[in-house]
Amino acid sequence: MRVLRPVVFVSCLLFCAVGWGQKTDWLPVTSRDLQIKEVPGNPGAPAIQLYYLQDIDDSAANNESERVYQRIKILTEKGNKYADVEIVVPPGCHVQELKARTIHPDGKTVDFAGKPFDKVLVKGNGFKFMGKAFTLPEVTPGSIVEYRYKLDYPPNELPFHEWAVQHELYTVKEDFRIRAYTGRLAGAEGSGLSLSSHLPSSIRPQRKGEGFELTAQDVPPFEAEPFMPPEASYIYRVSFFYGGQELRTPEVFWQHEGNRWNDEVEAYIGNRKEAREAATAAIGSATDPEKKLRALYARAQQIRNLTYERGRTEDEQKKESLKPNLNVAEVLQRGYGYRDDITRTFIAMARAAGFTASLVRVSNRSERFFDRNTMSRRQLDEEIAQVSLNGRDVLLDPGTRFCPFGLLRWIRTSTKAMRVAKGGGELFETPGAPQDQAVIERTTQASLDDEGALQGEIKVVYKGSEAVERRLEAAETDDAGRKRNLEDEVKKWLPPGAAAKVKEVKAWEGTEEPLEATFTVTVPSYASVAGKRLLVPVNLFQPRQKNAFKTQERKYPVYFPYAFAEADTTTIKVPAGYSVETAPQAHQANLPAAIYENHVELNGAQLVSHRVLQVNGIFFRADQYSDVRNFFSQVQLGDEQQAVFQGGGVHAQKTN
Amino acid sequence: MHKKQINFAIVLFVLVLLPVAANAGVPDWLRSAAQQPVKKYADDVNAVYLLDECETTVKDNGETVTRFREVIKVLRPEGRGAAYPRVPFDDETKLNYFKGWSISSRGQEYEAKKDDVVEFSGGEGYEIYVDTKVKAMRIPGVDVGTVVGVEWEQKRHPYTFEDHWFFQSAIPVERARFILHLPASWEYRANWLHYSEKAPQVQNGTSIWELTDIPRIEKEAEAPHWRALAGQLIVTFFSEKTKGRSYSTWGDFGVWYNQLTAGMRDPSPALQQKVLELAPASMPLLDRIKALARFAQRDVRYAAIEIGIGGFQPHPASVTFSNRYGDCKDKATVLSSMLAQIGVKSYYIPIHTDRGIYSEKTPPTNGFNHVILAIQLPQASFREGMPAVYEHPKLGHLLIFDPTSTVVPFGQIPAYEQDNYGLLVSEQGGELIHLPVSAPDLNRITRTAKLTLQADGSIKGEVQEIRTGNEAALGRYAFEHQTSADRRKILERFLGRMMGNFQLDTVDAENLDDIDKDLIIRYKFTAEHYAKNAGALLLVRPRVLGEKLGALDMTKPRHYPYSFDVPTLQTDTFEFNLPEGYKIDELPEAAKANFPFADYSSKIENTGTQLKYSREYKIKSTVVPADKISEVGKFFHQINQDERNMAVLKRAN
Repeated sequence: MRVLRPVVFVSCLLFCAVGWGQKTDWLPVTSRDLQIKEVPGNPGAPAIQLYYLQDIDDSAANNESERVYQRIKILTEKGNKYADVEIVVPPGCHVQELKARTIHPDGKTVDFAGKPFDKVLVKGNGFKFMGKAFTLPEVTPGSIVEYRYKLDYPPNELPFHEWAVQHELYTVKEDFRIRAYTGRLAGAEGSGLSLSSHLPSSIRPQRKGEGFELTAQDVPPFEAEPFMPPEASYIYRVSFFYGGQELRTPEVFWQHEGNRWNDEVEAYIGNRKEAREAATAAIGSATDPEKKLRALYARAQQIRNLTYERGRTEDEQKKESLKPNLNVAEVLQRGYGYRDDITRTFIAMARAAGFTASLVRVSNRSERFFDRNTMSRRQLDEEIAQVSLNGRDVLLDPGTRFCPFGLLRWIRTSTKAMRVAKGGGELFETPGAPQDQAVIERTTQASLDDEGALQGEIKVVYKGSEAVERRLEAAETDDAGRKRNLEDEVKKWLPPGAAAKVKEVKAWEGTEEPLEATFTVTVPSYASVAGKRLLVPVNLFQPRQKNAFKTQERKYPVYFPYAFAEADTTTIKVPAGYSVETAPQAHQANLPAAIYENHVELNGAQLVSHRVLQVNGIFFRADQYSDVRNFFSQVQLGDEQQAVFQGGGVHAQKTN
Repeated sequence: MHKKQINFAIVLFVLVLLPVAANAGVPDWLRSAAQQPVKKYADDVNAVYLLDECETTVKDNGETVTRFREVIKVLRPEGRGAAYPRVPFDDETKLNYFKGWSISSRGQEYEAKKDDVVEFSGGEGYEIYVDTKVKAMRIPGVDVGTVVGVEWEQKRHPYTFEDHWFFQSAIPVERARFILHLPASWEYRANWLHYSEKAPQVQNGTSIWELTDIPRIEKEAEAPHWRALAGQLIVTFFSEKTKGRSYSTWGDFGVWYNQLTAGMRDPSPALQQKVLELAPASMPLLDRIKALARFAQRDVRYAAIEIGIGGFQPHPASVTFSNRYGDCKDKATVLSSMLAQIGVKSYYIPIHTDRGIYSEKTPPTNGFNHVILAIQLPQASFREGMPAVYEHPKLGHLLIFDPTSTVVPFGQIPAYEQDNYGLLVSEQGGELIHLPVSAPDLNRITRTAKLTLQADGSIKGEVQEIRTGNEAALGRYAFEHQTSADRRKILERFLGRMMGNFQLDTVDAENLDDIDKDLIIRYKFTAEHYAKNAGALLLVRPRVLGEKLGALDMTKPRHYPYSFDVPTLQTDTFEFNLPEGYKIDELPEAAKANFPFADYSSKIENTGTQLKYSREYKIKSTVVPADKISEVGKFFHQINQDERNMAVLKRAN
């Protein structure tokens, strides 16, 4: 009988591992291998992976192993680094039969005759991550380096497996194989091997006996791009799972997990007098359902939230009398809990107050998008609440500190979730948060001097998600650190050389109200002087995406964590004696999910600009990239507009 | 020669997962230190050393034991890193023990246990392997207000007898002590760096240096390396019994280094054969030297394997030649061996890659992290056009050459080695020499652009950049090993900092691989609405490309000098063809700023149909002292103003 080991470690081998079937000899070096000079379509690439193989064999009793083979051709000096190899050896595993060699451009081979170095990657308290490191001799551009080895797994354990189909190098050909374990698994009836994959449509794993095989050719390298969705959801890979009957189909699996969660959650919530008493006390005399629910939400958020405190050792927990909460009653009695404890406590109080409330397991989309076919319960790793309010289901996030009533933290919006219920669960997508739930409003009152220097005051109001994120970040530091974070942020919005100092901040600890901060700012050389003219940029702030979409090519979608809006009113008083010569015209740009508007008013000696940027989407396909790029170019163009004033002293070069 | 560090994020992750149980056995010295009132500090001081103590005991046989004690009070959440101390060790340095405790602000006491410690390989990440290891600890109970105590003891078998005590760091120190126990027959010499010398208290053969209220080294942009600023005490121990392992002069150090490298440059027949192939006697001598230098620079791959004394001692030239890989000292050794085959002498120069750590005031101390070579040029005429020549009174014309750098041509040295100090190791021993710094006009960027402006504000540009010296090396670092697509992206990001809706039409680089020639980069672009229409006016920023503004923050007081890479001369000449029907109406003032360390000037000329913007940015020094920092501020202010200036064109009718 084997024990499933919930550690995915094969991914550690992503860029250093390949397997070579059952053979233990080198592959023949073909004339094509020797002749290849560059990566197709990508001249200048440092190296090309000619062959990669990963062959996992769980079928041999007590001799589970993985064979790895990698052949790389070095194309440039930068590619020489691929002659340096470090194989990660997870705890309990052993590297056997390691062979490596260099093949010169003329076909001559030089075997690696040394002994690899054993590196301690991390060792402590009964575990040891080791590495085998070596470098191949006589490597120059044009050389082929290759190595192979067998990784023996620890006896009686089956790690989760993953085929690394996409690498940092273009791969000419790669083979993958897995032979499944067919014996009994501890705690699983009717064991079997299932897979989930993220692959291009042209390649599909094939079932072969009790396992799978896959062959791929001409696989492009993975190259991350700024503002792309979570990388883990875009790298080609195949993941494998052992389990029981619940792995027959994704529908069965998620129903099975929903049942398990339901049992666990209902036992935790129960029907406890502590929840009833707490609900009654929180509601007080309120009768309106929404007011009642808000009161319960506020009560839940008063519970000390340990998720946002530093981790504590067992000894510290003991000394501070912090114990794991086994049910809602303990959360309320002790007054502390982690975010899921608080969410469940809120549900318990809501139910006690007569609301229909359910627990929702939700997929955090910050690191990876949910994949229904990946049968891992850890995909739905967080909890929120769903409550029926006035005939409408609302999703609430009481376990997130500073999260106002009605808002979900962005990582739990636009993502898959499961409403946990008896008999299983129902997968659905949480709604996206529109741009008006993440707003930055900036109001500036400033004046210019004759030299073009600007000084004034900026009031910034952060609303919704913009406030939540800053408050969560602020919770990691003290008052001085919070101020510095804000000042650094404002300086990034302003032109080079600007200074910003916090004057006042309101509602750091608030939840429902916006976060407000006021700054004094100075911007030397804000306006430029040309002769008798003063040229004044009408918008003080540089767009936050100014440098984001400058490249013309794009492989992956553009992705923002959350929809957002900026609303700016900038009032600039020009020096006495100047009068307006021209003011820029209103400027607009639109995408189906984004709006930019900018217009200027003149109010005596004051220039008043109104600017709105609303991006009401988070995901723009790669084929929409040119539109996105063009939109933000238009934003930059609008932001760079200048008003021209006349009437100053002579600061100009003489002209004809 | 580097010693190491590892991916500490992994280690922290593992430490956080460790289960812990503890009963505190907090020592009295920690309790005592914890009780002292803490002074008032600025609101960005994360923590303070209440005590930083180092105690070294040298036995008569040379065995050395050093005990360290640190007491740190956490003042801010960002200071909680004090909970994760780390100690390096290796086969030559046994870690006798490593302990940690904490006392919280509420008086709760914790002690880290065995399970709170993890071990990992050291190094700085670029090595294949080094034998240095690190133990890292997680101390429980560390919050704001907590006092953390750490104690460890190392039994050392040093290659050279010295202690290098760094008593000044990123957090202030209230009390620091260095305690030295030497056998009666031993002597020591103490040297202070960047701090006022202080005499020790001496009792029964024990010397104690005690310092109080040492300010922190603050983070400032473009400041010298912290080791070039921090107070240090270097104590060298001497005994007749361990002669040759202590040095009182750089000459002695050179002798030790000579012994260490003796025989390593002996050639193998294969190496000799290669020399004949690369540099036959029929070639002019200078070309032979260049050919061998090129081989060491490009055909011996950089790969570092450092075990024990291998951190300082090179592998034999024959081994490195055979493998075709090695680290900096291996590459220098191969080249030195090859040069010897053609009768050219060369000398090792150990150096530190951060300028300022070594200076003319630095006493002999073994803290180099890199090795380069001084090649004795047989003829004075060879030095022509080579800024990296050091004229030695006895050894003559020494060309300094770094075979590790693949983008710096023969005759030049990388920026970080210029105006730096290295140890010239010759048969007579060693001497610390000041490496030459190149003149501004040897490190040039000459950027010219022909630009055509349209009435709608769009612009078309053809740009050429010619880069020489260090600027060529920097350009090659950025460009040389990139794919064509990535080169485009680099330029697109560059252009994107200065204009909005643009398209990069072509990119071409000349002499990328030929490091002996100037690097030439040409590109064409078009940008819509580059100039802004304002009624009958067209507003144009004449400084289309390039940003020279430095990173100086004038809103905060500056403590340290401001560093520039190397002297440089950069010129921009941008010629605009004006749109039909427009004429120049007003132009901004010319800029002019002259300081001892730098000059900046710009002007805009109106030729009727053309607007011509030209500027010159010249850096003349590598460093500006802190007391002249306001001049740096003025210099950058002028540049900022000039870079934002706009010209006004007006429609004729």
